[in-house]
Amino acid sequence: MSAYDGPALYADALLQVWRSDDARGLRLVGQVDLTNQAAVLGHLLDLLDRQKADRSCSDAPAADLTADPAVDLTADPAVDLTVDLTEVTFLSFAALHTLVAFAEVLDPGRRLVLLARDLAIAEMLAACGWDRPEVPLTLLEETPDD
Amino acid sequence: MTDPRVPPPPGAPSHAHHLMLYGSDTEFLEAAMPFARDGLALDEPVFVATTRHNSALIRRHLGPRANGIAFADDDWYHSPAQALLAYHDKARHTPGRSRVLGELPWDGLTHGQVREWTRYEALLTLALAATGAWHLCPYDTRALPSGLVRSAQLTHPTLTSGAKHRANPAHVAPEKFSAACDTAALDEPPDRCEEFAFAGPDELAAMRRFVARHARRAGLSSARGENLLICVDEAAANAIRHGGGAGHCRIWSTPAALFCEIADPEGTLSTALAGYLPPGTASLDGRGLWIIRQLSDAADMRTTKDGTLIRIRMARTVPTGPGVRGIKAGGRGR
Repeated sequence: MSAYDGPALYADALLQVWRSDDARGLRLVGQVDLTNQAAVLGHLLDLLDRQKADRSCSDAPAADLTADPAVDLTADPAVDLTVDLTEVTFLSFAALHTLVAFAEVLDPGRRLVLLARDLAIAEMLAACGWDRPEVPLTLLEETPDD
Repeated sequence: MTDPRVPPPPGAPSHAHHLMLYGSDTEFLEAAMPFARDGLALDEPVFVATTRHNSALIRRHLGPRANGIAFADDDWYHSPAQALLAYHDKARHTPGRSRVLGELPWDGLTHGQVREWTRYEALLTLALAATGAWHLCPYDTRALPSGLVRSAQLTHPTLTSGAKHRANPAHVAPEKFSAACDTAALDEPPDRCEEFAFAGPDELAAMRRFVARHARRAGLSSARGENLLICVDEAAANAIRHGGGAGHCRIWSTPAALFCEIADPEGTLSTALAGYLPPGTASLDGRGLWIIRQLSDAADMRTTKDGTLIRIRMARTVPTGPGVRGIKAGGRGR
């Protein structure tokens, strides 16, 4: 059973936010703009907090590891975070800027991975110099089916 | 000859943006040849974007050494904003020094396009500051209107003639030049334009649907329609954040282009350099405006007593140029 089958973490008229299958990121469906970019950022920060809590929990001997089955308790701090945007039909520039700002606060060595099928994201990243390797953000583009 | 790129004192502008006026093939070659030849001898990357005729002249006179030069395709110059980014990226990805012989294709441009390419010349000086790039800009005095040549004398800090370079006393600070460009009035939108008023962030999605409908009707491809939506959304979000929370979007088309204009009654946008320079070259947070200029074919921005206005233009036929080709090739012409 997929984690998608549970309730969305967030939903409004434009956007739904789900935890991704492996609990290492989020899956977004719909449109991200000025009205909901803060909510997306909030859920990304929650995810970080949860991973940190889980790490300290799994470090402790004889800890109770049964809390939330959707959370991967073996999450490695070095593992990248993903945001799946393949079902996003609109991502504003300010929303992309927010994702870049979030990537910048990740622990050293960690990267934010964006999965997308949208040419404009690559164009915006390049135009702002956010495609440089020192920016901890990676764009993985899916080729459209056509 | 003296290399203009000796490190300037801290805070001083780089002057490696030279104007070369020529009235004959001989005059062109007298300046272009030492520029290219010295670059090759010093192992500096040399990039040439000029007319076919002048490219052929350089090839002929350099002989086999011309293979060491990268020549631009005919459609290199698409929009001022994209050319500025392409050259800035080129300089950024070249660790040492580099040379560009860049001659703009002025032929067939509208009055407004000439103004924006002239502004580009002024801004290029700022975009290249602190890079190792040296640009030599040939202007053909036989073919170009005298007004255009006079503008070129205001936008280049240094003059080159043959292998000699001297400071240009007529050079105007790029910020001042750009501000002067903004005193030109924009045409009024036609009466048949359609309008969408917005009064808060919750209306952005409906505004995007309104714009998307018109983009489809005007025949924009889905990728270019999407770029337009990002531009319009960013402009409207600006109006909501900084312009009093409300504004309107007007849209109209001509046979050549779709125009979309966002206006707000209280904007305080400082437009002299707004969004013209690559992020990181100026201490301005103009990223949103920069993106609008990058994703559109042209954008006019004005602030008056009536507020701020951002007019975005998307050509209805698919343009080509450094930005467009660079993205498709995945390399932005680096």
